[in-house]
Amino acid sequence: MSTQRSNVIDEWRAGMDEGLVPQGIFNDEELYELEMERIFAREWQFVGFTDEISDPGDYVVRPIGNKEYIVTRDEDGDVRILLNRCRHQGTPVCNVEAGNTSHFRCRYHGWTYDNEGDLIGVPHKDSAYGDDLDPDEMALEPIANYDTYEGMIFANPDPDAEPLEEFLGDFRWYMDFFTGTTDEGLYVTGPTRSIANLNWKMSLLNVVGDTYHGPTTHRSGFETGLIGPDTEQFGDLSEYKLHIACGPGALELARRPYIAGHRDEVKDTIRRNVSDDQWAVMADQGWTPNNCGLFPNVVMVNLSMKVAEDEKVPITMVQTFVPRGPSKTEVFSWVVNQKEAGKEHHEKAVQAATFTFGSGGTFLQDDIDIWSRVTESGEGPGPGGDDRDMKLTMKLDEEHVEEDPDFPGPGRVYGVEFSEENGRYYLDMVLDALGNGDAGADGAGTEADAGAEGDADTEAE
Amino acid sequence: MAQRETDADAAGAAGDGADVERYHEARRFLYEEAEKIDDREFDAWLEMMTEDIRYRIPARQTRSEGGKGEFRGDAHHVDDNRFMLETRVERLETEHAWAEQPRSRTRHFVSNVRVVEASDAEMEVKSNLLLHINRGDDPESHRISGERQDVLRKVDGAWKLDDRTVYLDHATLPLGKISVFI
Repeated sequence: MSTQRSNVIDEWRAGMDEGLVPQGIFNDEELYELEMERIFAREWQFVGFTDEISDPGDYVVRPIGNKEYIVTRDEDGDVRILLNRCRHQGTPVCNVEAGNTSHFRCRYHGWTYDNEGDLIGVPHKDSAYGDDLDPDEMALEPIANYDTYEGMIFANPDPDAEPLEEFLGDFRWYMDFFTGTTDEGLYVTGPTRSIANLNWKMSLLNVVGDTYHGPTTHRSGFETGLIGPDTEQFGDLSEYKLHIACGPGALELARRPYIAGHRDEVKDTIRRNVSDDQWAVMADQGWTPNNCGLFPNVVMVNLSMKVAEDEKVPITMVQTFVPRGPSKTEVFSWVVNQKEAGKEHHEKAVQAATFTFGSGGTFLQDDIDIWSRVTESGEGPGPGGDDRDMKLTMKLDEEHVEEDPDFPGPGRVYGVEFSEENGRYYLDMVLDALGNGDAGADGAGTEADAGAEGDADTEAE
Repeated sequence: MAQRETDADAAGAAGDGADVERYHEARRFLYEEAEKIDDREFDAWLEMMTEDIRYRIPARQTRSEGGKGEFRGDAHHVDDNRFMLETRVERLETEHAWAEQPRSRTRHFVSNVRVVEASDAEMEVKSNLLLHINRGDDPESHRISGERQDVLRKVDGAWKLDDRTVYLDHATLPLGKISVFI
């Protein structure tokens, strides 16, 4: 085992309490392998929306960790998540990204599975196997756990995983603001997919609470009038904001009523679907959960963006930053809307979202460019001084964090303009999930993880 | 630049003189437009668009039917109206469009121009696009390819781009971001 890697995790663990994080966490190869094993083989991950597979036979293929899974709706209408791997010799049984089919036939030797995963056809079965092959034991391997919440499909490869509801916990109170304010379900557009040269943690670290990057990174947005004083988005940067850390997520609320920009019928729908406390936050107190990160790699945003000089629309986006290597990430990006808002509104919102935070978006492109450069510049070893740490030290002193007594939502709530507290909260979650970080020599059990995994089993699948 | 407007064979176009002329007009328009992008003359480029311009790059999904059947969804990498294109150009003219600081070096190769339908007022034109992008001191370049389907419209005696859809050959965008005009 190389010492390079333990150095990164050890340094990370040693410095975290002081807000010092080695930049190497964005490109260290052994750390990446550990993340694959401890996070992407064990934690709940968002894979797509139920609306993407609305009819029996609909399927999409999605990555979970370094494996491909078929996310499909079987003939009974149930969601199934199946490893895209023939049980015979490991050939992927599905070689496109989306479609509709009642069965998957392996192109190598012809084993055929129905969309519940059952092996229903083996060519020349009698002469090839006689009685030696029991099809019941050769079904496509289902993911150990999956569940849905408000139209979002989550999967977890760990058979001992806690239920999704427990994992999300109180954080659901905030998720409602993104996907839970509808009776009829969601319009879902996407995903678009793009590959960026950055580490998957980079984007989450930003989105959970880095208001501080706004004035500089997105200065062109202010200069062109897309955001700023004349808009509802970041109208006054010095305004009071709420930072919230809650269960597996962390977010920022902006001083903009969530219901603003919605037609009255949609407001009624929203009202019916939220609690009195949530409504008070959206309407009376005038907050919107603006940017939000859900461990390990989901980004959710509610924004108000222009489609024309004098027309703004509320938009909701969900993105996953899927690791494709230590410094390579695939970005999946969806735009969603309450069906009650109407197709026309949804199309406008999709256009506004595409223009701002899509793969060609005027905001996200600057984020992506900068995150790529940070990922790249952290590559070591090499020349330079001893300081390889990122300083996430802002508002480290708890005295500066004030609770907001009037806010009814769960979690740790504090009103502050700029803070790196949520970033530290997020990275703490990553560190906790990684355990003691002793990859090769593991087996002795991880130290006091908060997670529900009771064993120190290190096998990857 | 002089165009050999009567050389129908060299142009690869068939039919009468009017067809040949339109083919040349379409080709001249597309070359000039590509030059404006690659030379970063974006204000002049915008002048080649109508007020109603819609500029789309739809997202593609690998599907068994292949071809245009892979563009079934309504997701886009780019779906711009005039306001959005103007804002992009305005943004690039600030000093803080970081994704284009330093500037990407683009080279648009536009070929296989086909005039699908044409009248004196409107032309539907297909062409192939190969876009080469290099930036900074990175020895690696990005290549994007696709088919453009354009509608050109005559406005005050000049052809303008009224509608463009770029059907990319990529399901997963090989770029982290689109910061250039495709």
